[in-house]
Amino acid sequence: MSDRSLLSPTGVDVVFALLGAVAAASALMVVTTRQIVHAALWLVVSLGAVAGCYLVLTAEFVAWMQVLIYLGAVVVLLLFGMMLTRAPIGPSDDLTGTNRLVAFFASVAVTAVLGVLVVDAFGSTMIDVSGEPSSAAVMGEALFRYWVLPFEALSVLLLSALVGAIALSKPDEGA
Amino acid sequence: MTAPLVMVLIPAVAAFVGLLVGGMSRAAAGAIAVAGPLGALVVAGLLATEQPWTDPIVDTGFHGVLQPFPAATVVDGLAVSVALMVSFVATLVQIYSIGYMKAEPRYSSYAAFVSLFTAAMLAVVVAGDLLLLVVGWEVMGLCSYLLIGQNWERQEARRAAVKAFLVTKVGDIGFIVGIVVLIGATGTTLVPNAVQAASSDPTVATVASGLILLGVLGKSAQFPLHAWLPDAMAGPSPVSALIHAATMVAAGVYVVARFYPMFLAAPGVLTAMAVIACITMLGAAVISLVQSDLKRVLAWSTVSQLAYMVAALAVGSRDAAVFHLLSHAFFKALLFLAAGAIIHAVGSSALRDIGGLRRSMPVTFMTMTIGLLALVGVFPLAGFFSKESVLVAAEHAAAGDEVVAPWVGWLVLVVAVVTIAVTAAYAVRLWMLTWAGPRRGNGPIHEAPPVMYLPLVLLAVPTLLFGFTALDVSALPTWIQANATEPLGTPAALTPALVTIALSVVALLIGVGIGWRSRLPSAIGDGTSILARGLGVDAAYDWLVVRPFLVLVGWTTEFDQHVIQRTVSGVGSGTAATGGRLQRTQRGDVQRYVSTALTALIVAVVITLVTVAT
Amino acid sequence: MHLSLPLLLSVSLFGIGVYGLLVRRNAILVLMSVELMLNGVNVSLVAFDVFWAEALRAGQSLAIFVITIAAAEIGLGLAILLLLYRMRGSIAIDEATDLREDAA
Repeated sequence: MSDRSLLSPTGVDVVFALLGAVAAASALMVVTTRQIVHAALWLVVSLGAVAGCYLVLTAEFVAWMQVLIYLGAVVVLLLFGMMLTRAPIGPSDDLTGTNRLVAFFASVAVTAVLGVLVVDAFGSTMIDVSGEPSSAAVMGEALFRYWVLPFEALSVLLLSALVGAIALSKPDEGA
Repeated sequence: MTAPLVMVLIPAVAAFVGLLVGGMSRAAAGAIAVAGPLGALVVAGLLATEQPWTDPIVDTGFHGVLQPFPAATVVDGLAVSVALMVSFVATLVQIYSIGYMKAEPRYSSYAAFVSLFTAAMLAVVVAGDLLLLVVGWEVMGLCSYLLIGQNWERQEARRAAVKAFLVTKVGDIGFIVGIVVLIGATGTTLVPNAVQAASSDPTVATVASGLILLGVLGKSAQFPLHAWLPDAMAGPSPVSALIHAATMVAAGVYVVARFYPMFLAAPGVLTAMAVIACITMLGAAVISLVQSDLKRVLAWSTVSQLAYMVAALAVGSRDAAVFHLLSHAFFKALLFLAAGAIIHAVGSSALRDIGGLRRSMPVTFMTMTIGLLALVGVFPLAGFFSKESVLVAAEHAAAGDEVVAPWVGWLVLVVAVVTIAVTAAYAVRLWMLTWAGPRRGNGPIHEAPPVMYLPLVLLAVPTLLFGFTALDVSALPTWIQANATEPLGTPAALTPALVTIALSVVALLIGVGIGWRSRLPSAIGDGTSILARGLGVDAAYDWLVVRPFLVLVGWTTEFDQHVIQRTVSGVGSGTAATGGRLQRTQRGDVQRYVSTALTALIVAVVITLVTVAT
Repeated sequence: MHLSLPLLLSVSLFGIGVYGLLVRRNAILVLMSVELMLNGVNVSLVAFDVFWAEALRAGQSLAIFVITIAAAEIGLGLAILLLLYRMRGSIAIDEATDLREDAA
C-alpha cells in the first residue's frame, strides 16, 4: 500500500465517494426541504448511506446498529413526533427561520475550517480496508472485555432516559 | 551585656503596662509611670559604676528570639552620661506630673507617653545599630506629637502638635536618607563601624553628615526648622521640660556627638552648622527678649541654648557640647518645672498675669532663681562652666587649632559672647516680671504641693554643683570619652580660660543692664510684633511651603473631581449602557445564541491555527 | 483507501447539521439536524478506528455508545417537544422565548 493522491482513486475509494455523496446530498435535502415528512424520509436515505459507508470501512457491526437504531427506531420516533405535533402535510414555507444567511455562513465556516484541517492533516494518509470486518463477535469481545463499565453506565443512562420520557409524557403530571 | 536594652525596655514596658492598668487606678498609673524612668535611672547608675566597661561595646543582644531585631547597643561614657541625665530628668518629670496633672482626665495615657518618650530617647542614646537609632528617633517624633497635643480640645494644641510633627519630619526625611546613604556606603548598620568607615571617605562623610544634619536641625530646633519648638508650649509644662531638656532636642545634638568623627571629616558641614548655630543663637535670644508669655521666653531660650551646643560641635569640641547639653538639661528642666508650678498656681502663662510671687511661692522662687542664674551663666553654677567651655572651644577654633577655618571660630566666639548679653537681658527681665514688683491678678497664690517642688529642689542640686566637674581638668572629658567607640584624640580640658571669663562677664553685665530697663510690666509687648512672632519665620513657611502646598492641594482636588471622579462614574455609566445594549441580544432565541457561540468558536480556532502555524 | 474521504464526509454531515440546527424552525427538524451532526462525528470515529486498527476498538465502541445516546436523546427530546406542543400548541423553536431578557 503506497501513498497516493486523492486524484488517483481505487475501486473502494470510488464506492465510498459515491455512498458519501448520496449521504451528503440527502442530508442537504433534510435541512432544506419544505416538506417536513420528506425531511424524515431524506434522513432515512442519508443515514442508510452512512451505514453503507460503515460497511465499506469494514465496521460491520456499527453499520447494522446504525440501520437498526437510527432507521428502525429514531426515524420512526421522529415520524411519531411529527404526527403527535400535527406537523403539516405538504410543503410549508415556515419550516425555515429568518436567519438563513447567518446560519449559512456559520455552517460554511465550520465546514471550511474543519475540512481544511482534515485535508491538511490527513490528505495523503491511507487506511487499510482489506482486513477482517468488525463483526458482532469482534465488537462483542471488545465491548465486553474493555468497555464493560461504560456499557453498563450507558444502560443506566438509557433506563433513566426511559423513565424521564415516560414522566414527561404523562399528561396529568408532566404538564 | 544586655543592661542597655533593659534600660530601654523598662520605661517602654512601663508605658504599655501603664496604658493597660492606668485606666483602673490613678495611683497605680502614677506608680508605674514613676517606676519606668526610675528603673532606667537605676540601670544607668549601675552601668556608670561599672566603668570601665569590660564587655564588648557593641552587643547584638536578643540572641535567638528576636535575631533580626537590630539590638546592637553602645555603652561608652557619652551614652551612659546622657542616659543618666535623661532618666534622671524623666523620673523627676513623672513625679512632678503626679501633682501637676492631678485634674487631667487622660493622665494614664499621658504618663504612658512620657515613659515611651523616655524609652525612645534612651534607645537613641544606647543605639549601636543605625536601625535602632532610627526607630528610637521616629518613636520620639510620635510621642512629641501625642504629648504636645495632650490637650487636644484646644485648637492651639492640635496645631502645635501637627506643626511639631511636620516640621521635624521635614528634617527627618534628610535624616533617614542620610542613614540610608551611610548604610549603603559603608555596608554596615553598626554605628561605630559605619562612622569609622564613613570618616575615612570625605565624600561619604560630607553627604551623610549633611543629610543627617537636616534631621538634627529639626529635632534640635535649629534655624530654619526651629519654629515648632515655641509652639510646642501648647503641651503641658512637664512635657515642655522633658522635650526641652532631656529628650527631643537633646537627641539631635546627641546624634551629632555620636557620629562626631564623621562630621569632623566634613568641614563644610561643620561650617554650615556653625553659621546656622550663630543665626539661631542670637536670633532666638533676641526673640526671647520680647515674648509676653512665660513659657515662650523659656522656649526661645532653649532654641538659643541648643545653638550653643551645635556651635560647640561645629568648632570641634564634642565634650563642650555634651557638657552644655547635660548642664542645660538640668537647669532648663528646672526652669520649665518651675514655670509649670507658677502656671499651676496662677492659672495663666501670660507674663501680664504673673508678678510679685516671691513671698507666696518661696521654694519655686529659690529654685527658679538658681535656674535663671545658671542660664545666664553666673559662677559657680553649671551654666557658667559649660558655656565657658563652649567659648573656650570657639577660641581654640579661632586660633586655628581645629578642623574648621579660623573665621568660623571667630564668628562663633563673637556671636556667643553677644548672645550672653542678650541671654542675661531676657533672664533678668523674666525674673523681674515674675517675682519682683507688686502682685498682678487676683486670688490667693499658694506654693506648689511637695510632689511638685521636690523635683525642683532635686534639679537645683545638679544645677548648682554639676559645673564643678569642669574644675578637674580632665575629669568630665575623660568620663565622656571612656570606652569611646570613636577615636577622638586626647580629651580637651573644659576648664574656663581667663579671656573668655572676662568677655562673658562684660557681656553679662551689659545684658543685666538691658534687662533691668525692661523690668516693668508696661514693657510687656502684646506678642504681635514681628520679633515676638519669631522674626517672620512662620510667615516664610506660610509663603514658601503652606501656600504652594495649598495650591497643589487645589489642583489635586480638581484632578480628583474632574478626572478621577468622572472616570469612575464614566466606568459605571458605561457599564450600565453596555449592559443595556447587550440586554437586547438576550431575546430567548436559542438558534441565535448557537450561531453566535459557533462564530466565536470558529474565530478563536482560526486565530489559534494561524498563530500556531506562524 | 484514503482516510480523507470518510473525514470529508464526516465534516460535510456535521456542517449540514449545523446549518439545519441554525435555520430550522420546527423543533423536530432541529432534532434531525442534531442527528446528522452526531452521524458526522460517528463517521470520523469509525474511520479513525479503522486507521489505528487496535484491539480495543475504541472508535467503533464509542460510535455505538453515541448511537445509543442519540436514541436516548431523541426519546427525551420528543417527550419534551410533546410537552411543549401540549402547552403552547406549537413547536416552533423561535417562539419558545420565555427565557429572554426583557429590556429594562
